[in-house]
Amino acid sequence: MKLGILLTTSPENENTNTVIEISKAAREQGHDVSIFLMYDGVYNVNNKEFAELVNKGVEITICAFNAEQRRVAKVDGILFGSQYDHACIANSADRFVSFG
Amino acid sequence: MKKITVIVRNLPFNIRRNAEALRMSVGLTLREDKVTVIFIDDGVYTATRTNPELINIPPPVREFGALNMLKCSMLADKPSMEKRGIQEILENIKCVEREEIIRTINESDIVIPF
Repeated sequence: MKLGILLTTSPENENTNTVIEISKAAREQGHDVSIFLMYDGVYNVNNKEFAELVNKGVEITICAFNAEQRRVAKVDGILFGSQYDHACIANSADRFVSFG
Repeated sequence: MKKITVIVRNLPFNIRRNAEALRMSVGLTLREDKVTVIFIDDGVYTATRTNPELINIPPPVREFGALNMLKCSMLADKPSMEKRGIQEILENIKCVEREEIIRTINESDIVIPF
């Protein structure tokens, strides 16, 4: 199963921890996980534990427009994409969850 | 084709959240999914005619224009409007009863409260 996740809140919000734990659990059960970060959610790339999800096979894409607005620097392994990438995640996901 | 519903429920001018919700809604049409935007609670103020330029906030004209052009449904919750004394909303946004809002959400494959 492919799980899509939208995260729009910054790392101090409990959503970040929830997304990390859901993503880890889903990967451990062999599911594909794609996360899209936009709005203040782009700040999560600066959260070490969150960014390390990439090493567990989670695909993370960030809205480059929002990242540039907030001067968020590029991080290895995280795609600086666009709303088109979000549309692709929503279109292809079997389940899609929004945290905002 | 999926049915995607975006729910806008915050005040429009204290943060950029609502404008971002509209921008995201435009983006979600790029894979030809059917996108509906619902304005409910304080979000109905976003569906009214305003002059955000007066407080140096860019109006979401482009986003509304794109959503119109892409023929996305935009629905405003009638009880939310009545509670706030709102009688006029932007053209192309339809004022509907709560039952239609619920039906739209129930029929959606993806619901994004923003």
